[in-house]
Amino acid sequence: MAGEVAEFEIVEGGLQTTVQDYPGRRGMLAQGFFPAGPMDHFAFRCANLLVGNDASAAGLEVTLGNVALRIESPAAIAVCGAPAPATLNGETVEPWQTIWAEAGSELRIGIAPGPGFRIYVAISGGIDVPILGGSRSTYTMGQLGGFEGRALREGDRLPLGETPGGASDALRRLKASELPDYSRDWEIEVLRGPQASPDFLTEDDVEALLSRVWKVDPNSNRTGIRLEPHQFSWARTGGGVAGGHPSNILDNSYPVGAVNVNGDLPVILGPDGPTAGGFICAATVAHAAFWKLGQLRPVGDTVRLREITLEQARELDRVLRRRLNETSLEDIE
Amino acid sequence: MSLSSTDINAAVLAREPAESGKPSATYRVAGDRAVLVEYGEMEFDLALSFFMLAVDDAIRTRKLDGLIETAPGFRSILVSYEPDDLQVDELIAFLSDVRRDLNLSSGVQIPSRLLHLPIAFDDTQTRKAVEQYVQRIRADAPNSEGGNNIDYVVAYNGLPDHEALFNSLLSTEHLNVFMGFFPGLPFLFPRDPRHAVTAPKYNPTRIWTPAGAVGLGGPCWSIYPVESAGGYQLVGRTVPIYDLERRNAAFAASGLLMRAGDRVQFHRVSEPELLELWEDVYADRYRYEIVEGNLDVQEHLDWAAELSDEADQLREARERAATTIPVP
Amino acid sequence: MTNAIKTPYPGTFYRRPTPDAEPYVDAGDRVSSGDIVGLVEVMKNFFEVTSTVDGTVERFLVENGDLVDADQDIAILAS
Repeated sequence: MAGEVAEFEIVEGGLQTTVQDYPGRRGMLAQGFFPAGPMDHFAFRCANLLVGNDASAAGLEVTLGNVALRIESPAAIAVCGAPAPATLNGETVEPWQTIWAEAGSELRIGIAPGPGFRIYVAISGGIDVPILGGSRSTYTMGQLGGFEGRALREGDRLPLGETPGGASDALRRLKASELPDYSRDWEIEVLRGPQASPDFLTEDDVEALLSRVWKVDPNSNRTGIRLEPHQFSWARTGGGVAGGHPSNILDNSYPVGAVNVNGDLPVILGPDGPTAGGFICAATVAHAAFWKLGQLRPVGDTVRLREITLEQARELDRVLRRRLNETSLEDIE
Repeated sequence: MSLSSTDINAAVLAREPAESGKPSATYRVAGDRAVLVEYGEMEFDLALSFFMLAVDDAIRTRKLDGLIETAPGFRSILVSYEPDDLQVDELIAFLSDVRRDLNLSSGVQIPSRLLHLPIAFDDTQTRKAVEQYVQRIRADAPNSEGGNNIDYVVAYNGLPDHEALFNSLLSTEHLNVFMGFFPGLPFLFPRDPRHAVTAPKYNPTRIWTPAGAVGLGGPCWSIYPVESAGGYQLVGRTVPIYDLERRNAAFAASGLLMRAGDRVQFHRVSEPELLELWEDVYADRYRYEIVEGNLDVQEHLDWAAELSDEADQLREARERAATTIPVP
Repeated sequence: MTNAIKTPYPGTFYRRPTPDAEPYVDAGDRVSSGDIVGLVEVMKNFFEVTSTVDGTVERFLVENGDLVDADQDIAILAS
């Protein structure tokens, strides 16, 4: 392949397919850029692991499916995330394992019927789009990064990075015991705060936030998971100097994954979400649980928020990291 | 470290009382990879913003392993950390030390450019955003009666007419305390407290706002860098403040026009003039008027203090007027 | 023999381009492959649902404003 850049071509773009990398664009929060990056970082990182990529390699986030791509040179690929019918040159492709693709192979991913909503594709070498602000991730709201700052369309040709020593042809899969549980009814671990009870919400409000079964709104996307309007009783009568509504505060920066209550509507801020604003954040999704946001299907899925402590969040981190390790993989006979 | 153990709960890790000229500090849980530290109480006081900016600057200077980035708010800083490298207790101890060691007595200067920006009030695009909101999102929103948000903001602040509101924006420099929401969006606060105005935000929020729209939410003015959702009451539109294509020299460095600490002085233009300026910006004919400079914090605070009695009277009048106006 | 028109998108299904417009298609109307039969709103965007077959619409299986999932039958055609 001397002198030639390996490429792949988008044959069908689907609902929203973007280039992402993990952990995305850090260090630009103070300029108003959320990190972007894969919504389901577990499936994304697992796909990179299966094709022998660096953890920082860029791959594809496919929303729902109906995507096809042609890989122009031999490569190892892996398809992880929401279960969806997939084929390579017409042959069924198993998810969560390495697949060897000869030059000119066509990968097709059909519609994910649920549970789950997003599918991740890693290709050995990683997608070699320019690094902007330390990341190759697409930030759709700011038209920044990835491929021309936008979702991919039919005919787009994307460069692949080099694989030192050639792509490994070791075929491996994630052990069945390490597969994530997908559901239509999700439980998502959160930490209370930064603005909860007793100063902003009442104990009953927090109790309601944590016990209610929330339906995911169809207008949820990478900027945020919209839940349902809820009449909180609030621990204060108004927003004071910050505005009339008790959800209003003097504007501050938001953590990614915050459960932001704007007026009466809780929205969980996604990786492309607003970085700051003047509404309270009653809870924040634990980093190790953030991947679940990427698999929420915005038609009928439900969410329950379960409060955990900082210590428990660290333990979830450890468990997730253990699963994202070579020892979680096994050779395919 | 003098952390009080009272008032600690699942959302609040620690509090420090106000002491020797320094505002209180509240350290809040913001997930398992960030802490939100708030200074003082929730009141509109630029002294808190200056304190926050000084802390932010000191954090960057002192550095700490595992501290990833800081993102300011009006009186707060969101501090992101990597829990593998830094325990939350260590982070809070560090932030507490930074606060303790801060010396604000001598004439602190912050880098602060002055940007002169044109504004066309009550323009077609912002009216379109309000009209669309009424048609598609909420027909009975009190802040959108009459097809604009200006009537509502005028009434909410007890002002006689549109001109009085426009004059409040034009009569003082505004300080860009921090940026966020979307890339390059400034959170602007009036330097002259006599020209403060306030407004509740949309409920629910708007799904479309034109780029360059100028709006008011709480006591904060802002400019929308890109077409986006939004919750501020709209009064007019200025020139682009975000252009990743860097079609104008003003965007050469980063694609963003503004920096934290900048000041903005608006001047009035007609809508046809503004539309022409948009073309000139993208053709690189327009030169943004940006004056390099510093802001002397103590000088500002002394000046604002002299005006505070008058400002308090005006604020009380505003608050009386607001009690008679429905909140969205 | 009947054919169904499926939506490739999940979300909220609308039979009209705007709330006060006429429906794209009514029962009894003929449709050709490629004709728009409705809109699906999801992720703050609207997507057009088109017929992939020719025929006469016998009836709609979902109402205006119903939540639909991807691959769900929207209308039955009498070929």
